[in-house]
Amino acid sequence: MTDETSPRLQEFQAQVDDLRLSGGKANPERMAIRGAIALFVIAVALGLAAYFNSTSLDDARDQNEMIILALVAVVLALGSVGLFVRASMTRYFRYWLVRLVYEDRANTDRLIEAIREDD
Amino acid sequence: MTTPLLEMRNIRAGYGIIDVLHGVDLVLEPGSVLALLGPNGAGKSTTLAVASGQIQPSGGQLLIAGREVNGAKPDALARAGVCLVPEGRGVFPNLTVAENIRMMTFSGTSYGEVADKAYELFPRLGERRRQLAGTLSGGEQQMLAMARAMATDPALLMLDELSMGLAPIIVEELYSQVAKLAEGGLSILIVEQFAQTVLGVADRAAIMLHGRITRTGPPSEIAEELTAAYLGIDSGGH
Repeated sequence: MTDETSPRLQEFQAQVDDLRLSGGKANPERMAIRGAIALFVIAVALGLAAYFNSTSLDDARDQNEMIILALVAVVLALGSVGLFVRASMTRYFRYWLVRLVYEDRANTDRLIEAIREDD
Repeated sequence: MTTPLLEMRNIRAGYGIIDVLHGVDLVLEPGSVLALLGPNGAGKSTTLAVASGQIQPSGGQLLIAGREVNGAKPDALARAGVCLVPEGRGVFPNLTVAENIRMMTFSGTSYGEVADKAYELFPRLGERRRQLAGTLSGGEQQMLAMARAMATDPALLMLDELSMGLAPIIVEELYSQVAKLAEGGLSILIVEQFAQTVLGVADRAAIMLHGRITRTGPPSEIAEELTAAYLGIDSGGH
């Protein structure tokens, strides 16, 4: 085994210490999809709450508050749909990219094999 | 007591909804060679993918040089000196040998320096520098992959299935280079299915089955238990 004070090891240690950690999580798309579903449920609940509350209100100013709350629910619902689509597409395109890389590699192997056969 | 260069504590990871690693514990001391052995589908390559930052663990701790690096990006780890030679060699088949080596100048090292290192390690590559990498023999492609890895002056080298699809004489030649690198103090983690040659250069070995390390020890002890492990027989008490 090497001495732990070897220059390369010290340099490596320093570089690892300087690493910025993004705090990346396993399967971020799955988390985003779950978040989007949760957000959508909250938005629907908020919208329903605003609707049922507004029916018992006589004052137009109070009703306006419920309308604003309903609009917030709509914005949340649209945001959650956007997040859901984004995460789904990211997951889909990742697999697509892997497939493209794999097929490109297989195709190159076939070409090389054909060149060898010609030789 | 030295700080392990690479340490995994109860690492869990997988692909999407499929979990592959179910709590892996692994230690690689600085300047040592660790052979990770196991049958196909045991999770060996996934372990390397986690160690190189390509797959984020869903649980456990990944420590490099004593620092927890869960969440580190693979390019950042590669720049620091964590180098993976993937299964299937990972060379660019439609680029020449020289162009493949030029790809390793990403860290700022000049092409001349990178090429000198590569051709010094494997002189045969120097003779074939204008040849398309895809037209090299399997052994030469593996040499190119290793040469590219070494050109970046890694502190931790990980080799995935070095011997896959190669003739025994080529495997011995490659492992003699691995032994030389190890003598130079490089820390190496080697994943293999077929164990005999790798056990000759390893300081320690581990057996992996079904996403778990089932046994770790000196190569001489591991060699005795390998057959049982491959055949799925409980060798008792581990």
